[in-house]
Amino acid sequence: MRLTVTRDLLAGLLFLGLGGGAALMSSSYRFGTILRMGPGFFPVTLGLMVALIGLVVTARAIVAPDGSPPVGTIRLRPVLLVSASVVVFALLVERLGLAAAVAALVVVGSLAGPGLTVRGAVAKVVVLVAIAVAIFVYGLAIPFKVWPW
Amino acid sequence: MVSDVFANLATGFSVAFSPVNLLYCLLGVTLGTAIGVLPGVGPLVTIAVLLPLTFGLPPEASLIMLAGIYYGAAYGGSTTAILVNLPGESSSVVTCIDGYQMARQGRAGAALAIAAIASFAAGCVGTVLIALFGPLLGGLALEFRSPEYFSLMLMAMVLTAALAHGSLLTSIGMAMLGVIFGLVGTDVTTGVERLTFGLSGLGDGLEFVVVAMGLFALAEIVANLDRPEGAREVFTSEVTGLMPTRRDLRTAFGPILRGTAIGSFFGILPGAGQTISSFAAYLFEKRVSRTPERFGEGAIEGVAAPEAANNAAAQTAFIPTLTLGVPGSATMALVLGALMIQGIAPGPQVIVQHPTLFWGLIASMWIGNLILVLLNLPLIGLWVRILRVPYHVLYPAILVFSSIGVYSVASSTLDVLVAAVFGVLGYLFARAGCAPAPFILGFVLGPMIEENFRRSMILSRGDPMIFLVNPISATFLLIAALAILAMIVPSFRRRKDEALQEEAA
Amino acid sequence: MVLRMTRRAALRAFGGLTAIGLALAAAGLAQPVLAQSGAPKGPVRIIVGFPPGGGADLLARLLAPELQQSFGQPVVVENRPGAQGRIGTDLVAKAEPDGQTILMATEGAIVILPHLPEPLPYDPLKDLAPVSLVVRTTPVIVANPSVEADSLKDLIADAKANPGKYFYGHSGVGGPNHLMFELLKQKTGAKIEQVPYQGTGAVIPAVLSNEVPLAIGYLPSFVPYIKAGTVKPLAVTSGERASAMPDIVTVADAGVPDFDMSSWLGMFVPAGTPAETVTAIRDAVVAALQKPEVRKSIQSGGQEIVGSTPEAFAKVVQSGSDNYRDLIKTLDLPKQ
Repeated sequence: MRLTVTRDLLAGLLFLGLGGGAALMSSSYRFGTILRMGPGFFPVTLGLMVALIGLVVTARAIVAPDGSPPVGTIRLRPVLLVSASVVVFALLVERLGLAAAVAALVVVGSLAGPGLTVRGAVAKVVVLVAIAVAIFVYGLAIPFKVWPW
Repeated sequence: MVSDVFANLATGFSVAFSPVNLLYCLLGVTLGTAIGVLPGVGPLVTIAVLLPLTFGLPPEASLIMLAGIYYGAAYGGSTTAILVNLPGESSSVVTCIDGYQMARQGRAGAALAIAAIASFAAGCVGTVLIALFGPLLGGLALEFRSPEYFSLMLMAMVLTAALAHGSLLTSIGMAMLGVIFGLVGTDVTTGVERLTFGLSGLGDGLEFVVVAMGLFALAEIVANLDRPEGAREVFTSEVTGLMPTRRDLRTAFGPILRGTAIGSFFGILPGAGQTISSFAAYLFEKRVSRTPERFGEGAIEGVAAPEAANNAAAQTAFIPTLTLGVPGSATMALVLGALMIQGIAPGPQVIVQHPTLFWGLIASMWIGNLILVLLNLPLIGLWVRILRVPYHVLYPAILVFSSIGVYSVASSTLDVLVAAVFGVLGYLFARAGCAPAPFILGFVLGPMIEENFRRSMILSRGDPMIFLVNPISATFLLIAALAILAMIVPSFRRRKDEALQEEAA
Repeated sequence: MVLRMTRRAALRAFGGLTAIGLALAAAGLAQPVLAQSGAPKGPVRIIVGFPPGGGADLLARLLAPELQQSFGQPVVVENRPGAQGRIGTDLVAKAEPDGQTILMATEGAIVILPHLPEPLPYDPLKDLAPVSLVVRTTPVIVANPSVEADSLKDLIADAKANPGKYFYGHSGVGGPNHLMFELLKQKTGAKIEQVPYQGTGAVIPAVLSNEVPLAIGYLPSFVPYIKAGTVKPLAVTSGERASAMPDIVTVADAGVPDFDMSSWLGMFVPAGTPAETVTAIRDAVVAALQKPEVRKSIQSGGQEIVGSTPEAFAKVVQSGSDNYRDLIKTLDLPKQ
């Protein structure tokens, strides 16, 4: 039997991981009792409940894989590059300034989509850097470091 | 009494209706909308950026400009919800659900117009309500203490989970996960930092726009880029009509009225009134609709009801803000700061002490709403044209604006990094068929549920009966219990499953 | 033991509501002013460790145009909120000591946070140089009108006779208001249980609705309610009565000798800034504080104008830090 990754299976595993992780992280906070809750009570209890839901959903997905549509192929390129473009912006904006950060974001972000040409990328960079600087730096006077120098 | 109200309102309008003040209002609405429509720049940032403009003006001009900015920013937030699936604040999360679908089907114009019309209608009713009952209703908020808040918010969570789209179990799971993410930061009751990974930048918790940018905007962009080559058209090229049809208006009429009623009630309760009211209005419409399967697929009621509720609540939220000095939201806290700069100290005497300013403010709010509609109906064509921009140009622009927007909330690069993490998470949730709306409700309400539960327990010295002896609290809990019971009762369950199958078909 | 101010506590650290009437003075007709020799040589940022709208933010925005005129350089206010003021304070502590980065600080990040267990990335006494204590505000202890005791003395007597009868609300665990009330309990032996809220904005309705019979918060936030009679003031915690409401007795008047706790907002620059630059900034602040419209804005907010010298401010910081260190050590604060 081949295991199809159904939506339910993915949801179950997400719940299991996130809920379990939260419960684990919160286990060092004082738990208390239901009447005198410590800071750990809510996150631990909810984490365990989410993990339990995850367990049920996962089990259901394995036992009856026809109950939910398959996830299909997950292509890593768009999700990784889109996230990476935002990360690149965050890393550059205070070091090299707004213009460089926006330019890098546009280039990395555009790689996530299809059919990128050098000319297209340059055009997008120029236009979006100009718009961003015009709106946020000149228009709204948000104190940004704009240029790398 | 009634004649007093008219005399008072007349005073207010005579203050607000001078040509110069109207010009300031127009300026406020224009700037508020213009900045608020930048994706990722939510009402909070818009108002914070524009607020200093009002400081140097005389009090009346300042107030009316503020009202303009406030409504312009809120409408701008709804606009991005509809056009690019990025809610500006938690109360426009539900607008995304059907508004964005309408946009993809070429009906962005109708969605934007109905949002403006619903907001205006609700704003009119809200203004009258404040004028008639404002002074009386101020005390209502004081009837709500920790046990009532706990029970109200618990009820809201249970009802949402019970009526949500898709699998019940995953909805509950998403709502609970939302609560967990809402707990990130400093625990109010003990001062302990929780779930921060030791990052002091997370000590104040996660900002709403950070989560929204990840779960909504980034996840949507990735999902669109992820589609197989042939099915990549994100927005249909056939744009049908910029304005709602007569049929649209007829369909939206009831939802606008009901949404207004729901919003007016919840707005009076400081804290989560606006968020709860937009969710409640949406769910209520879905419940009473003869065709609930249309919800989530671009139903105009799904835009009209929450937008009306949201705006009515924004209006009545001024009652506790002004009479008690309790801001209902971060946005309202900024507005309150601006009022104080104009010498309006919130408190029990505000209405008596500053009648011209108080009634002027109320009149300003109505005029702000009116100018919003007048300005934005003609602008809809412009907004809709944005969707004609080729997607490979549009999505980098959304990324740029939302990254800068998130960064400018607190000049924090950590916030931008966290948004990227939520983008990955949001994409996985979308692929797993988990809707983000219950997550957001949990995220907003969860920490308040915990805080109020624990405070109730301190005050009752650990006696849980405090939730039941109190009639308001007991009523909410009863409703929540009935909803849970209804979920468990098999016949209801079967019906829900049937409805779901219809939806799937 | 871990304790911290919550976000709102910090946001309201000087009472967000204290801002009442703090107006941005219109720039007015700019008179060319001869910049002093030590004045900053380039654009100046005033860093505020809290979001816009709080007390520190409004004071900074009130002073910025005045300083701009004095220095002949652009002066902007920059909000760097987060972690109870740590993030903004850290930024200034590590900035170039050229007078172009100024911190508008609340006492929390300077004299309280260093004594909490969480390590700080800066040492406020070593990495920052005091410029001037700009304004002071006193907290006030108020009661719901249904509380029988009409004075702090009666209340303490009643609370001692009936341990656990009373609760008090405050704006955040580990914040100055919380610590001050705990000090009062320690000095009097009264047993009054604490109930934390998210900021003064949440404490006000709690005491109005009698959810908690007692509350502590900055005086300006409570003035409208005291005037309306919806809460009754018991005492201010400062050593002297507040000029805004001189009828309210001090805690010391009520029989707790030497009780003198008030909060301040003050300016710092990075340590190592040339003395003449510190003097130039301080002189510009004092000049601004003498302008009638600035005075009116601050006083109508219920704050006391100080504008101290750097030396006097350094003493206040040192003694405040010592006091809070001793206090936090001895207090029986809620444990994690």
